[in-house]
Amino acid sequence: MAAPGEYFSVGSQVSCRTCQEQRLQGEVVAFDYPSKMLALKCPSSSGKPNHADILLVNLQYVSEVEIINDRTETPPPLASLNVSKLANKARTEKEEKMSQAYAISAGVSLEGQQLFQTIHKTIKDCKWQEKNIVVMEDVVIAPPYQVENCKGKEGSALSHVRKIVEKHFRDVESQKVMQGSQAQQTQKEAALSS
Amino acid sequence: MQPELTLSRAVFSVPVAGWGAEGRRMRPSCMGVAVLVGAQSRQWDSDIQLSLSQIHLGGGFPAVLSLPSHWAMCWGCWVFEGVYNNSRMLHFLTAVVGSTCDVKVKNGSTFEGIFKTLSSKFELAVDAVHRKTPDQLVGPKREDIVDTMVFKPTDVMLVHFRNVDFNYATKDKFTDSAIAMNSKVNGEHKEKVLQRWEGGDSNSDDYDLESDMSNGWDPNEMFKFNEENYGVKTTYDSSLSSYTVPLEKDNSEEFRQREARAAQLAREIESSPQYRLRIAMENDDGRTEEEKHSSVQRQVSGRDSPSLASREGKYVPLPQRVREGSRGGIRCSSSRGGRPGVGSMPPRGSAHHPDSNSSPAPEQRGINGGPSRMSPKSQRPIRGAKTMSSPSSRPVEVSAAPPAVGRMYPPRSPKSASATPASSQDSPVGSAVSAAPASPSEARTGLESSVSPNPPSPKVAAPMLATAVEGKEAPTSVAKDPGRTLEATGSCELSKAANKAGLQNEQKRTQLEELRKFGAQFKLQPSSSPETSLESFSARPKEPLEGKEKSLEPGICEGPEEAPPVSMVPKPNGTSLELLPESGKEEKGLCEVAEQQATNPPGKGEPEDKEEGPVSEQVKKSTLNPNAKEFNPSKTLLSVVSQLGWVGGSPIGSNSCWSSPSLVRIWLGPMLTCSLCFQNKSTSTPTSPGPRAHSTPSIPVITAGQTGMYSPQYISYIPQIHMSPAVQAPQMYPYPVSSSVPGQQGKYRGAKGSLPPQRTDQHQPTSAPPIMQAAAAAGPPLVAATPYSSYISYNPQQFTGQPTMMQPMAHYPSQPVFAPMLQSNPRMMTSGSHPQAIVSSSTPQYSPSEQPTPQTLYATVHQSYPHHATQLHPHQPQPATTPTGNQQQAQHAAPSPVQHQAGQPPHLASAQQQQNLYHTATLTATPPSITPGPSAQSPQSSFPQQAVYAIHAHQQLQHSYTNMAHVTQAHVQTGITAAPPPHPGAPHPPQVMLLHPTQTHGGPPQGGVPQSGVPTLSASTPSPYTYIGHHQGQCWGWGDV
Repeated sequence: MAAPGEYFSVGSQVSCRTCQEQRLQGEVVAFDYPSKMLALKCPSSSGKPNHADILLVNLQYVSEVEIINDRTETPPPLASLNVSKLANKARTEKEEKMSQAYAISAGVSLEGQQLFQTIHKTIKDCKWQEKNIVVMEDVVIAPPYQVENCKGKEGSALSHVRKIVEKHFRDVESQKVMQGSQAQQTQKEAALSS
Repeated sequence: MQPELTLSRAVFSVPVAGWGAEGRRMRPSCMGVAVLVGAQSRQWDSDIQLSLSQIHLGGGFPAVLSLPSHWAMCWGCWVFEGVYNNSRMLHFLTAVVGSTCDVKVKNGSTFEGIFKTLSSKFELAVDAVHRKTPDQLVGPKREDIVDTMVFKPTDVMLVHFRNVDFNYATKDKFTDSAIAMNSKVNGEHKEKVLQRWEGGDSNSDDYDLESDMSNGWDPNEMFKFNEENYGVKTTYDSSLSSYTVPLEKDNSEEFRQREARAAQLAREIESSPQYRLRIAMENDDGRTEEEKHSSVQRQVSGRDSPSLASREGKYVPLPQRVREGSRGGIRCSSSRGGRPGVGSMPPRGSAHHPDSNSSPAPEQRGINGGPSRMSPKSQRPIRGAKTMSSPSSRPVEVSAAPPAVGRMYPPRSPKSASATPASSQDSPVGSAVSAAPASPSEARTGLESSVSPNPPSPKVAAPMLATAVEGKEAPTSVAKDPGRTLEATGSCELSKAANKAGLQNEQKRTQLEELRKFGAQFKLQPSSSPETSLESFSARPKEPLEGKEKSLEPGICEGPEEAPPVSMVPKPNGTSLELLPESGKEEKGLCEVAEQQATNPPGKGEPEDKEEGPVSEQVKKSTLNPNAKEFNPSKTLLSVVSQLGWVGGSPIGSNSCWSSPSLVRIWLGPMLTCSLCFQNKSTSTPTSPGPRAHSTPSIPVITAGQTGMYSPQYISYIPQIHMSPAVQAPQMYPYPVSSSVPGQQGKYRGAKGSLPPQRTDQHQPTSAPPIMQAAAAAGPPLVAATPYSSYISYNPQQFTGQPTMMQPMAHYPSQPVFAPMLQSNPRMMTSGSHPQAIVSSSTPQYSPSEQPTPQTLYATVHQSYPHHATQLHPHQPQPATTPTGNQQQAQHAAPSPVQHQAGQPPHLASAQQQQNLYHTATLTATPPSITPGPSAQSPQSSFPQQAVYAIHAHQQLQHSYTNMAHVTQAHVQTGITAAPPPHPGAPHPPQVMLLHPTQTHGGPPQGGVPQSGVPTLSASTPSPYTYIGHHQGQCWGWGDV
């Protein structure tokens, strides 16, 4: 049970419904009474096991709160956070998004954007040059960003980039399938819940 | 708390963004600022504004401005507001910083951005925000993105942070586990496959590290190996012809001159104290860090072996010396079986050993400063001298004077021993012995030297040397070894040598002359013995002082002291060595004596060093004066003054010194060394005269009784004292009065001029505290020659002792003092080197020698303490305390008081203990009773002397008042002691008595008490008392100190 003065015990599973009729469920990680903000942790939307999604719910706009099960165990101590690391992450994430936005503004296709992100995950040294993706100042990928579009000086760099591109599109295909199935599942769930 | 703090910080960073009006764009840099300001809550705003010019504060920004000071205060207080107080919420919202978030506001629209921070009011700052559209498949365009948006909590319905890795910010990459985790390859953690190490057969257990003595490959082997295996042929040319040009030797006159010039320059440079000092620092005397700082004390395999001494020396860092001093005593005692006094003291061999031991110990001490070398030398000389002297001295002492001489010498020997104390450590007995032995040896040496002087006096009661002995001996020694001494000293002091040599020679000559005069006067010179006793006392005091200095001012004091002592020691060593080699052992002893005398002169010379010529003259005068009694009228004053003068050059100085013992001590640190040297010198000179004259008779007994090394030393000490008491009692007064001291002082002052005063000042400071006094005393004695110096030293010591430490201290100190005395004797021996010592103090030239000497002195002091302790049973116990006390002047005061309180009782007890020790020692050594007898006499004599001294002190200094009580007690005790003639009890009581007397001496009683007391003592405790007397004498010395 929640300790005196607490409305939610950390670790308990809570389900709530927003004023927009959105169903939310997760594990309570924090609650701020003054602002009525409830933080819930739920499985990662990407499905990665070591990741999670955090929902910050303003209970002022929640119509219904249900505690599915309470947890009596004391929550684990909070680990120390590397603030500077987080700040750097925020900055890089922002820059990434901004650069991507620049590219999009330039009229880059979605495929191109996706490819860029994929390459960027592996090779940081990549940038948009108009609509072309320049990797390591060496390899240029022009629309439509297929493997055959990768041009540059023959060498390990080019072959490496080609592999990445090839794999990217292969993954994209498989991901589309998964997303489709997931979407169906979610739809089913929504139907069931409703 | 850390999480909270970090969270708060993170949260704080939010505020920065949050403070801006909603929708306002803020630069990323704001965050950092926010973090810093975070703690400030509102106040931070102003700070942020001030600090961050780039921050764009929105209109909605809360205009809360605070003063920087506020900020600081807030920072310290960590006052949190709003959500910042919610650590968990802060933690998680901080953990999601940098994550992509979808912010759904109440109007239903959704914004996606990078979460940046939040304010205490839960305002969320999001970077790179763009409005999400349901059917948007393509990323936002640049124009769709808002740099930073701040969402009010009231507008936010839901915030969805996607794919948050909570380990991201908590991962540490610096722990073993983290590093291990980082070994993951592509997310897969593979444990390393550990491989067994195949060492091969060659590394089996049969590999013997000890058997391979080679230090790696021989270069030639390497060359050969490379040539055979790799075909690489070396081009190495051992002549380095590629880099150097061979020196073409020319037979021309010019070349020769150049060569000679180069050699001369090399000698000058290498003989310079600075050079030696630096070389010593560089080479560290071959000491390793472990040796320098290890608490492990290695016993010297050979007591006499210099190496041992050196080792010990090595092990005794200056700071530790003090400790060791006490330890050494303890060691000696322990090793000896109990206190150094008994165990070590009794055995003659031990005594010798002590000498050697003592020498080692001193060496050890010296080692610190570079004493090891010196110590060996000193040891050798000492040994030789000791051995020779011990026999000769003993015989002589046996005659009567021996005890006194022995006692006197013991002090010296202690000093010398201290100088070369290492040996003490080597052998437990040795340690005690070393202290005692050293003293004995030194005493012996001193005896030899002094003996040569003293012995003669005793023998002849002065055969030749006896009266003239001291004077003559010194002279003779000088004459004999003038060259030697000069050479030795010269060699040691080289640089100084040149100048000093002449001066020293002159001084020596003067001293010799003085000594001769003394010799003539010696018959009367009981006083001289007192002087010697005084000197010894002074020496003791000095030792205590040194110890105190060390304790008090380990760094400074030790450094200076050591350095000077070292220098002194080296010289002594050199002199002693030289003497030894040249002259037979006895001769050596004589030579040593002479050297000591010579050194003494140098010691006088110390003052002289500054003005050698004058000093020497002064010395002569001083010696003459004491005998001459010129100062008799003003004896008290003069003596006091002289004492003061000795100590501080001027009474005022001495007073001042007293007033500020500690400071003085510091000052004295260096001075002490000088003073010590002086003391040594003075002691040696005084001892020789005193012991010779008086001690000769008593000494024999004592020696016989003590037989042990201790006894000789004690005897030597006692003898001097005794001598002085018995004979001197009357004479003493005259002496003190005449006190060559005054004359000497005057001479010193006058002759020495500024220099002497300085030294005296230094001494005074040192003397001011017990040590200081001792030093002062020592200083004066040197100048004064012997008796005077001793007197002077006594007075100063007493004064100082009274003022500073009190008689108790004095008692205890006295033992230490004895040790110092002994040391001083060695120093005296080195006195030839005194100039050096002086120089050392003044200049670096002595550094090499000085270092050794100081160390040795210290060592000797320590050893001497033990020795003294051994010698003086009571003292022995006390010595331990005294050493410490000495080491720590403050301690002295405290300890000494205690001891004093216990004072007589303790003394008695200690005396008993000592007696026991003595008995044991004596038993072992020889006839305890005998020793007591002689010693008793000597003590008695010493008492008188002491008394005289005390009187002087009284007259001279008011300080003696404190001592007065002690003195009275001492007197009482002495009276008591006097009553109990029994050897065992008698000795003890006597000792106690003596101690008290000594105290009394320091005190006012002086006049009446001393006289009466002394006589009684002497009368009652002719034989047993001798010891007591010695002890007393020592005690007196302590008291003086």
